[in-house]
Amino acid sequence: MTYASDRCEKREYPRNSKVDVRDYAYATGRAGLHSRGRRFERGYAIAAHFAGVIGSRNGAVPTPKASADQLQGRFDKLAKQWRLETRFSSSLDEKVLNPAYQSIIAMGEKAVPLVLMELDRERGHWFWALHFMTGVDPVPEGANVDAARQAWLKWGREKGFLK
Amino acid sequence: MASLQDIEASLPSLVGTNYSEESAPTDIYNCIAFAFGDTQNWWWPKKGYGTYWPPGFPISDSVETLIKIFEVHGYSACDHYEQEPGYEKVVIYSRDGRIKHAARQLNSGRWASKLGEEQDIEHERAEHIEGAAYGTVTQALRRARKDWIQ
Repeated sequence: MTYASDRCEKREYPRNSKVDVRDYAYATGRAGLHSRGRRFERGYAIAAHFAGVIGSRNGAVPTPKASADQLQGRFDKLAKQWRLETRFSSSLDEKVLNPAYQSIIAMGEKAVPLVLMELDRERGHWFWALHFMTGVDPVPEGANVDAARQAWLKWGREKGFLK
Repeated sequence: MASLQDIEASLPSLVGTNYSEESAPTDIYNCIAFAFGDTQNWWWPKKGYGTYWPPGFPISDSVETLIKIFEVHGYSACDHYEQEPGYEKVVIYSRDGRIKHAARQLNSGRWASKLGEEQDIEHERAEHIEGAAYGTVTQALRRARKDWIQ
């Protein structure tokens, strides 16, 4: 018979030098205060909370700031890939069905400001993506690329996505 | 802006040929618009999204549809794309029956192509931009030159 403990091996977890030693001490101390009654649940919950606090200082757990940076990084990478792969194509179908473009659409509403800023700075055929990410289409019928771009940038400013 | 290396990486048949860049990059018009002499619209069979497609034609990227549009503009199908006195020519590139590119012949006999969102280029021969990106020349069309004096 094999016990779970037999399959485990002892590991050393190096302490992160960026973490203030007092954080660990405090977290451990807080967990130890509740050694009676619902010891494990309370101890785990408190330790998990402080682990999150500590981790967030090192970027391990997404915070609003870290998350925004990660989103921007992912968007920039995909947008660059999309431009490289479709820059010589006249086919709107090829542009919008490109996997990088589809991945940007899949990023959803939170990436709308990034797409609008990209449209403002670098131009490009982002109208399809914006339509499917927002569910609206402010482009007037018969608009050419310039007019479509202006319509989306105006919409973005009105909605507070762009300054 | 695409460098010559970028262009040749995507259109390797251009390597070693005499071609030249003729404009700055722009996303306002594409190769099909450029073949019709339009530098204000992105021609593609979609409704909206900043595109233009002539009214009354199927919303289809089939070669047959584009031939019909060229015919309305005075072109008729011809069997080769070599220069002919008194005629201006366009060619349609396709893959699997789908439009991939269009180019028009200049008075010099060279060809003018708009490369997606990138530059316009002039190239010596129509087949110099054939390949994975644009497929092959599928159809040549011609119309009488208005400025032709016998």
